[in-house]
Amino acid sequence: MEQSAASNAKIEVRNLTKKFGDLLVLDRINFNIKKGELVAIVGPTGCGKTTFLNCMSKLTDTTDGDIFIDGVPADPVKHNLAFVFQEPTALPWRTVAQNVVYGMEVKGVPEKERAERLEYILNLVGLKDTADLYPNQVSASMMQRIAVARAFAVNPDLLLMDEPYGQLDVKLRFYLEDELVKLWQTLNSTVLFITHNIEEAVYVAERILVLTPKPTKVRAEVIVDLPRPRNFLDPRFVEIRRQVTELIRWW
Amino acid sequence: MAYQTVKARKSLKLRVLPWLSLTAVILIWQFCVSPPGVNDWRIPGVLLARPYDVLLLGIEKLTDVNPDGATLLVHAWVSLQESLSAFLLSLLVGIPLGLMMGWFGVVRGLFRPVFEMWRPIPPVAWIPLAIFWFGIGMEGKIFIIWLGGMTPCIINAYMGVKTTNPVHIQMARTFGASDWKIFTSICIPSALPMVFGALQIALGNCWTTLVAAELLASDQGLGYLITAGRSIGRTDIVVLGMISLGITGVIISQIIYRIEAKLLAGIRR
Amino acid sequence: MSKSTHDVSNEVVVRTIVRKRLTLRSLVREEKFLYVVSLVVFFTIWHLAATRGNGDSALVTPWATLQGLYDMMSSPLGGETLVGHTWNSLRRVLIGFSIAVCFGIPLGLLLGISETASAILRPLVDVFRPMPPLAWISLSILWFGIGEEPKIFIIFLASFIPSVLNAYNGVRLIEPELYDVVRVMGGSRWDEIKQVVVPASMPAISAGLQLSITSAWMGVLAAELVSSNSGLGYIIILGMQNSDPQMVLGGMVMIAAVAWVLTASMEKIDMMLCPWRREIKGL
Repeated sequence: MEQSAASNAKIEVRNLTKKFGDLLVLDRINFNIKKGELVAIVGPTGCGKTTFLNCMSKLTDTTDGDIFIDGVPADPVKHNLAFVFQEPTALPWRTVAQNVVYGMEVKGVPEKERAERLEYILNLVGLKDTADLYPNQVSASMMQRIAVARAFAVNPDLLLMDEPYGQLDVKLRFYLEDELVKLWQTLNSTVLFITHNIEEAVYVAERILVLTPKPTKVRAEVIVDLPRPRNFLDPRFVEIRRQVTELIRWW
Repeated sequence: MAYQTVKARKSLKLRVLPWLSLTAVILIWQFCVSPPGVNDWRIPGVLLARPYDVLLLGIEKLTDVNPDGATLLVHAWVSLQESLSAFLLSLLVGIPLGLMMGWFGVVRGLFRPVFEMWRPIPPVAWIPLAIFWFGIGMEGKIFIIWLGGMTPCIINAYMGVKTTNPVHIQMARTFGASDWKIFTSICIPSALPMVFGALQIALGNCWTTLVAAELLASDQGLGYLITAGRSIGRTDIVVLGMISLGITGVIISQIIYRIEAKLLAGIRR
Repeated sequence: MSKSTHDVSNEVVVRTIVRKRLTLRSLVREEKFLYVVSLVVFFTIWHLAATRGNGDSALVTPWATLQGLYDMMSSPLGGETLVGHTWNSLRRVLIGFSIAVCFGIPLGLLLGISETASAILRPLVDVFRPMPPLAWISLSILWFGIGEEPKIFIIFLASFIPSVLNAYNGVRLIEPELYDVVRVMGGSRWDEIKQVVVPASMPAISAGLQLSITSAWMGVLAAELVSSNSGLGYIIILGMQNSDPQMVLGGMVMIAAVAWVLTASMEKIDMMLCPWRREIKGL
């Protein structure tokens, strides 16, 4: 990839390779994400998705290649990275509001700005009324919204989402997907959304990267240029979904 | 989520039986022991005192310093002072040490071998050394009791940190949190319930160790009361000392339990 | 580079340790290295503390402790060598502990199974529980004199209560669904006890055994400290009376060693009693 072509890329993944001993898990992955883009990654089960995310968030070291944010190697201390996990990660000893603040607290956002952003984000995700409750007093979907709000609150350079809605039922998922799109549009964040649910990927993403089974590579890139709000029954929606499904099948 | 507490009414039999059995045991005890100065087929007074006599002695000992040199309350107060100050010391040292050992590899590496060598030695075995080092004053006893309270504090704090949900730690890491920030904001709060669990165990250990320390070297305290009673052949004093130890133990463990419940309610509703 | 692979459910987990270059930083992070540092520092401090007090200190050097240990092994003290004293203490513990376990566990199970038995006996257990077993030393000396019996009695008391309580709690905390499994298949009350109560409470019983043996070991030492003419407790109290720290420290090393062996064998027994339990790595 040329340097000039990558200049408008916010995130640049170059030759990302990860080996565990002699087991090759990630095989020279290359892609870019533009600023303010919502990219979804889909792949078959066991395709090294978790490893991929751990490399992206720098939880594990890469064997080769690197990730650049604004042309600088990514570093969780320097950059604003945020991660929404599949499991609920609300800290049980903090109230909802305190949980949402946590990311900003770690980043050292000044007190005054922290309060303003908290107010704003709580209103945006509709957690205003439950701000003083403890996580064990709110529902499972609320827990995930806390995590999403906490991640958006730090204005991340890159927001990684690991099947955030995988454990929720269909109705809540639709609702939260809409909310995610709204948050992303309002805050103009750069989001990398990982899922095994193709419909979900087509619904939220602007671009879909399809991964292969291990050793993982990027098999294809699908542009989703549908207008929003998207309709599941739109023939073009169905067509893209079919296309992605075809790409994912390796049998 | 509120669970509805359903209190099943116990049958009459189950409610009465505990009281019956306690009363029966006390009555049997009363009638199977000879009164002082009487020698018959029953258990002689040099082996056991009757509960009624113990009760009378207990009331008398509230004000009388004879024959062991202090009133019952003074003995209890001395024992309380020793065990509670040792207990607090073991919390102050043990809990931070255990927490740090759970999170910081350097601390764990430096303290673990010494801890593993020290742990199997029962606190009682330190008594001779403690007497060498501190004499038979209060310091020596506090040292021994402190050793007894340390183990549960260190282990529970350590385990509490070790059982922190790893996803919480990962979450903090992806935000770029430092090790120290993760330790204070994630590990410590999540270890707290287990740390509180250590309080009761540590207190129990302290109380047991107290008895051993006082049996060997002291001139006041409930443990001393027992030893003194034996050396002058007064079983009623021995039994009174034992019962006072039991009752005082229950009272302080209840107080700790209340404090613990309050604190726990404060961090997790 | 070393690698280990194992299965967790159906996913293969690969652990790899990549050898890092030896730098000061990586050395400080290496736990084994820190262990060595820790031991060296500990023994150095001990040695310095012992040599500083120009001879009248109540501490001897680690090396002198080892020598004292060797001397006590070879030359008899109070009629027996250190090995003999160790065996005396150990024998008392094993006898008292076995009696306590043989009575305590069935009693605990009975309390858990039968409400009536629980109503009658629990108050008595609750009354005796808060009294530290060591508080009985005086009475037991009055009752049994200074032979073996008072020590065994104290050990029995020390290990009895944990055995009873853990067996009792083990039964109480059994999930009711487990009983349903037997009931659905038409099992009798006896089948429930045999198939559910005993195995399901086994982990708690085993945990009780560990507590019991620790408390029994403490009990025997305390009893021997108070009045005895053999055993490890006797050795250290004799050392104190003779102002011989070498003897005291040697005795303590032996006490720690025996305690370690007892705990380790209890862990082995635990593995045999409940092999299905997941291992929790801890201290």
